[in-house]
Amino acid sequence: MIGNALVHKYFKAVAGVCLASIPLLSLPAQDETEIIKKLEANQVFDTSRIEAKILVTNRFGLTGNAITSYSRAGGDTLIEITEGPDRGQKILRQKSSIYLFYPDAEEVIWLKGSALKDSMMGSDFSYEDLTNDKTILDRYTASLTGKEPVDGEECFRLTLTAKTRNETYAREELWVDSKLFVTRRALLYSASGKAIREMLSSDIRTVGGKNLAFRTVMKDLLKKTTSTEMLIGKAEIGIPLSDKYFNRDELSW
Amino acid sequence: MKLTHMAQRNMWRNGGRTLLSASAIFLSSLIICFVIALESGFIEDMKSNITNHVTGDIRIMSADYIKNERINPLQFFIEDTAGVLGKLRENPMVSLATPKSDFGVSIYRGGEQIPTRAVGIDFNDSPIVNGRNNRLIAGRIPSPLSSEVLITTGLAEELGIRLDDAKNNRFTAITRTAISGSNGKTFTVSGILSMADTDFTTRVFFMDWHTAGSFLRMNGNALQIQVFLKTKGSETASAVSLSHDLSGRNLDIRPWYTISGLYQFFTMANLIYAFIGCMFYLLASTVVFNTTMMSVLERKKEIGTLNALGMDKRDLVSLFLLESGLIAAVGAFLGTLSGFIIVSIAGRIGFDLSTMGASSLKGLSVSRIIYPSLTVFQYLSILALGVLISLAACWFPAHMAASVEPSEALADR
Repeated sequence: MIGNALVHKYFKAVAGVCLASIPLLSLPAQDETEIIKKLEANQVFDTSRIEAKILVTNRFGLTGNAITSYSRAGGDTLIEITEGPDRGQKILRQKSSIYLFYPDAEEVIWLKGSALKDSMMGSDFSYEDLTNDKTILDRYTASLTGKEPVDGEECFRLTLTAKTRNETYAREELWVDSKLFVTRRALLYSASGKAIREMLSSDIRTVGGKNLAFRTVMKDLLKKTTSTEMLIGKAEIGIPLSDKYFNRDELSW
Repeated sequence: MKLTHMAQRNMWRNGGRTLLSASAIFLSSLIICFVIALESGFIEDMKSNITNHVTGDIRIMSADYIKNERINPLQFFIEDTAGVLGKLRENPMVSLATPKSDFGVSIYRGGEQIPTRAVGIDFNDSPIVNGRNNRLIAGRIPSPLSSEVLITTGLAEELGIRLDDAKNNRFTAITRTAISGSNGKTFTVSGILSMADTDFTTRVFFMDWHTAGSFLRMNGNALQIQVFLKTKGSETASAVSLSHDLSGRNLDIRPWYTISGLYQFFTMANLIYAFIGCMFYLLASTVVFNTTMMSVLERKKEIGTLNALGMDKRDLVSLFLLESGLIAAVGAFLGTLSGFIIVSIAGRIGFDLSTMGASSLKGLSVSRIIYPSLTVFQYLSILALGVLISLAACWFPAHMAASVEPSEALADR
């Protein structure tokens, strides 16, 4: 689920909080619902275009791809790999469906079933992470457990407990920046209570009225040597985007 | 000489009984020949399929791949595969060195993904397309470096592939790549390959190894090299020698029988079938025992007379052993000869297991069609074993004959 939040942050180019909400930070008391709503408010936008690099490190070495991500309100997202060995590949999310375009393939692949759980570009994200439309509060019961600094910044510490057994992570701990409402750290737990992934965000910048973490690292705590780093190079929010980016029939443009 | 003549004459004093004994040995020899020939053919077929389709006489892979084999780490391909192949082909003990990449893909068909096995090979020399039981039944071999593939009959049937129909002679496959990403490609089917190996009858297709290297993002390299030796049986020493030649390349070089757990099965199966052969002969020897025993009892007076006339006990034992030995030798010879004829015929036309649930053999590297075969040594062993077991079976009756006292035998009514 935080994987979903992360993906939304990077692949849908939404994170941070409306600058307009910053004055509210001076209000002393905020409950967990309010914090999460502000966090998710960052994910509401009209359009975005983000250029980023994804660096995947595992025990076999480092691989990197450059991507450009286009997204618009409603969740439609297109990720195009622009540099690296997989250059030309595209991933399109339309509503809750995922389509893959490969330059050497004559047909567009519609991912279904267990294939959605496959790793996306060898990263710690799965295609499934792109498809979930429900809000955090729809899926998790949240509780505010206190305040703790992360990288010297004051954060709300939240614990989320899954409402159903269908969630990838049974429990999550979030450290949400108390001023910018960006998740600076997250620990993701399995059903057995073991922390299996950790996400760290830094280099937060304001773009188009949204706060975005320009560097995020996702670590697999079980494999130790596995991590995925996303570095945003350029982010544009609220720009005009043609419908062709989100049209399955136009993937081979 | 005299004893042999007497034994030959005695054999036909009761022709029916002699025929019965000889028939038992004959049938046993025949059955043993066929069963062991079938088992030998089965094992030879497994060995041939494993070496030709999977490992070669010696398999070469990246040592790191072997260490992480459980997770199928495609990133550990053989670096500079072309260079390694060149070096192997210069080696005088190597008859063939051919690249191979065996990996999993999903074929995208009608919105569904069908898990399938893909194999990148060199179509010029790979035993996979040039093997005895492998036949191109339609189309042609793919062109080098192209996106053409050969598919098995089972996959062609499942996908509804028709070579003459441009709309139905292609499919798209997706795979995980050596750089941990994924890749998709549309392939055109250039031919349909019929393979008897039950591991290659259904969802398998073959492409040029360079195409596979590119598809998997392996920079044109391969996951494996199959090495075939000019002298069979020297795999262990040759593997050591090749390891020296290719040192410093971080390669895992080993003979086929250290890779396949089936080799242990081969050894065990040989012992089991030899035991089964002995059991057949033991059953037949009960007939020999009975007929010899009846012969001794019927000829008690004659034995007493011979004894009284001065024939010593050793000659009496030899006489009965010679009688049984001749009968067994004739029966075993005719049985082995008939077995040779049947095995020779079956060895040419093959023994089709497809009607006997061959699909259950999947994973054992066994072909649908087995060609029974026996070596000259095996034929001679079967013949000798038949005679020896028969002689052992009439040992007791022969000694019983030798223990008959002349006075007792002559007084017997």
